[in-house]
Amino acid sequence: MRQANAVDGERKDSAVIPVEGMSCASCVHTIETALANPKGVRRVTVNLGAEKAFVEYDPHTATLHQMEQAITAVGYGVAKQSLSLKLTRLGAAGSTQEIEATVRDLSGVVSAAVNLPAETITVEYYPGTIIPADIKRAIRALGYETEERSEGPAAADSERDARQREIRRQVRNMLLAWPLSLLVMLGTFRDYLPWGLTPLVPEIMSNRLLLWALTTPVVFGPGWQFFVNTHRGLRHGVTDMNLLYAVGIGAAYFIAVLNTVWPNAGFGGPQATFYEAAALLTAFIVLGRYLEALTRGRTSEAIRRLMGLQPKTARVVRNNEEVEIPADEVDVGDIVAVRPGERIAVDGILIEGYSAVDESMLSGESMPVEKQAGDEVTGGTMNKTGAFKFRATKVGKDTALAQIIRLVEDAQASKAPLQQLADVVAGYFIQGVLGLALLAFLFWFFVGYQTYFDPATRFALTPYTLGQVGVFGFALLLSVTVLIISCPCAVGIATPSAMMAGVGKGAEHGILFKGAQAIEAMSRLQMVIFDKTGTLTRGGPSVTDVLPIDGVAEAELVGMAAAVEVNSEHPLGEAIVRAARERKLVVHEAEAFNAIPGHGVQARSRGREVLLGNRKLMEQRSVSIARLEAEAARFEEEGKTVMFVAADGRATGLIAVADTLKEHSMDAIRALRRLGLTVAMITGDNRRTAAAIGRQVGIDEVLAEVLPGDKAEEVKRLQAQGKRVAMVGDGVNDAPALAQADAGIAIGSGTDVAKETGHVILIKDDLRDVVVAIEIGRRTMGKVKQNLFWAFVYNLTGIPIAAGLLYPALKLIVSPELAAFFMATSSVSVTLNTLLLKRYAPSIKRVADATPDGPAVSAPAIARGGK
Amino acid sequence: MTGGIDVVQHSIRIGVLVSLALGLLFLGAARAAGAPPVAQYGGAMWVSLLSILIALPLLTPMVRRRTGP
Repeated sequence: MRQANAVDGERKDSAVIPVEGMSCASCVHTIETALANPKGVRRVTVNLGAEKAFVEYDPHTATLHQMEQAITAVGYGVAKQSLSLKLTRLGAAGSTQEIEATVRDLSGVVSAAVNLPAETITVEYYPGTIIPADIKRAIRALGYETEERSEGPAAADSERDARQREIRRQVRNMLLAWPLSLLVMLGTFRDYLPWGLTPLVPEIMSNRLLLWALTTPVVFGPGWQFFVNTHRGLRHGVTDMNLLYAVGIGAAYFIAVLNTVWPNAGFGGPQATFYEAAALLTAFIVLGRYLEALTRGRTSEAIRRLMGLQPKTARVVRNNEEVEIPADEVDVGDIVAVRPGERIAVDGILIEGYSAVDESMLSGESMPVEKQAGDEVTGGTMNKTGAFKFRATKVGKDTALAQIIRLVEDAQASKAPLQQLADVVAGYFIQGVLGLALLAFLFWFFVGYQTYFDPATRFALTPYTLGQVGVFGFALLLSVTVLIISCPCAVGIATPSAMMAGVGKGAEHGILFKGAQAIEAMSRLQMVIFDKTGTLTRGGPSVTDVLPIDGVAEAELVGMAAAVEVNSEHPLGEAIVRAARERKLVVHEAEAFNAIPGHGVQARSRGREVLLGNRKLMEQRSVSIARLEAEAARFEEEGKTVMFVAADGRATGLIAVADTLKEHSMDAIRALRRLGLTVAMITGDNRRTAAAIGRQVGIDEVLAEVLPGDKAEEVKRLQAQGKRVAMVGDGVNDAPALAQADAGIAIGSGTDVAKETGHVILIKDDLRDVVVAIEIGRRTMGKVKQNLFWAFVYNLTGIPIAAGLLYPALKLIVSPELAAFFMATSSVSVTLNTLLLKRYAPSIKRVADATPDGPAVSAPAIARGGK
Repeated sequence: MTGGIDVVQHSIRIGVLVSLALGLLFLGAARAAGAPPVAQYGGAMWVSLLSILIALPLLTPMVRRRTGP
């Protein structure tokens, strides 16, 4: 997607360019370097896991075409997509030029060609920079109608296709490389085959000319890609893993050919024909490429799944008829019809009908949500039961789904501090390895061979001895093995692959991380502060206790109170009416309603004179409440607001009202404490009341009497004590505190994620997602550390062994083909380890909504009359 | 981009000179150490190759910084 805005008077566009052919961390460095070249490019971030380049540029001086050239010049590809549209009202030939020029001028369009006789236009564009709807709008703005001829695949499909193409390419390479390499290996090791198998392999298989003939197609077929990519990179002064492969394969092949045609040249002679090394090296590297392509796509599956939620068509009511049109052509204000089992195309407000909608794909909430007229519906969600119509309110990039995808993409573009370090290491890795290969060569050439060489030297894990290899052959062999065994891919992929998986896992549960920094911050938290009102609690009063006396039934007492409050707009009155409705009571209309400011209300209900109000009202009307005093005092101690009810001058009971905890608040707090975190609550309540609430819900630390504007200062004070703090609150009202916290968690935003501040956004109003977000953060960072640990351990042990560190003691060296096998498995194992994140299930179990209200907490008493 | 290619070509020229110098240095050392002729020349080629591969990505940004944007 492309976005444009003006910065300091200069125009700034941003684009997401899908890059094909990335295989390792040095590719990130290579592409970032290449993309930094065109003038006007302001910022470049390349994400290996997502296989995308995120670019900010000035469109006056840099073009996407230049960026494509820069990427392709260093050996990578840019995915392009084709859109074919049928044009109507096409007039003279002059109009074709107008259409072509207009479309070509759109940023992200590569080419546009109108076919006048066929009345069609074919547009080639970069899928990450422009969407088909923009192209259609531009043509419609010229006065022509468009109709999509063949549905172009969505961006996500195009990426999947590119990956599939890469997988198919490497499969083809393997089909050639492996059979030939195995034949070469059989021929080379014919004399060493176990279990008496030697006679089964014809002697001609050992012929060096035949081995040469079998190896050549492997090196110049499947192996050719490494030479081509190395050449492209070097032309622009950059190196990557392809260079190491090319040098390794090339050196092994060159020495083998030299020893075949000129055995006495001194390169090790007939004993050192490394055909099997060149062939197997290629086969293993191709296998590694294949496995990487196979596994890497899976780390971003959740994100592609989100992108796939957008339906392709929508049924819009036009002239009282339902017409099916492409979803991206729905305009704001259109009436859209949805049938059971269909996915909702855009965001809107339901105007007719009702249904249950499955929103789990966006919010993670498994229970379908009932929708009726006036309710909001979200694009991408699934209509389950009924048919309905809604008015579109947000389309295109403004829909909740588009915002979520944008947030997730931005998160992919960001790099955690740990990743920046890994990228720096990976960026210099190739140079480091080449340097080590040079040092190893010099050492074994001038010192090692004369001091330690033993003709009985064997390759590790094979019975093959090295024989009478000369000083150059021996030193070169170890030097090449160093190049082959090193694996910057593992270092480079360790962090982004885990971050991709973590961001995706969060999205699955309705948790949006705004960047890799957010995940890292979540993993390091020591303290979680909850805003009280509206976050821990519902933020409004609910009836918590009903205490009838003198044989009055509870339902009768509530019904009586509700009758006098039925038309009330006061929060306490609304709470009582709501309580009556929840108890399924019939609420009768009252007569002679009289509000008594600061005290309560009086009305006639079903022939009885009913009073509802505070202690003062009862005293004024000489109603004795002595029998209720003890309970009333207890409720008031708990911070609840007590209202007495009297009928015909006699007390009939009391009703206590308080703010209530959200249903999962206590579960969440318990789970957070189990995770070893200190849980705090921040509130404007007085200390005594706040402490009482804190005790009830199991809060460790209560920050009371904090004015709304001082919450950020309070967070700062805790941070100054060395605590890493998360603040959980409303993304709008608590914005300063959320911004100040190490991790600001905005809760219950619904799908309007764009307005939210904070580092983490929870789509659902469910505090248990705070626990899930922290668990995902910890597990993701755990995977990052595991991956980095193994990647570094692999390289730090593999490279010295390949360089011959253990040779003086063991007389064993690692063969290039074994080094290639280790290299291929190391990066794949890192990706497989990351994929274990998919198995994560939140420790805090979801239970069906059993109780509509959580326990009451002592909110500040809300008294009638504006106390 | 044209300027970019000039920078790279300039870097390649410097890199070739550096690697040839190191190759010659190796040749002299190998000769002094009494290595067989083929090992001397093969080693010099290998050292030159690795040297230019190491030097080129380091030289390109250096040259770019010196020549300016």
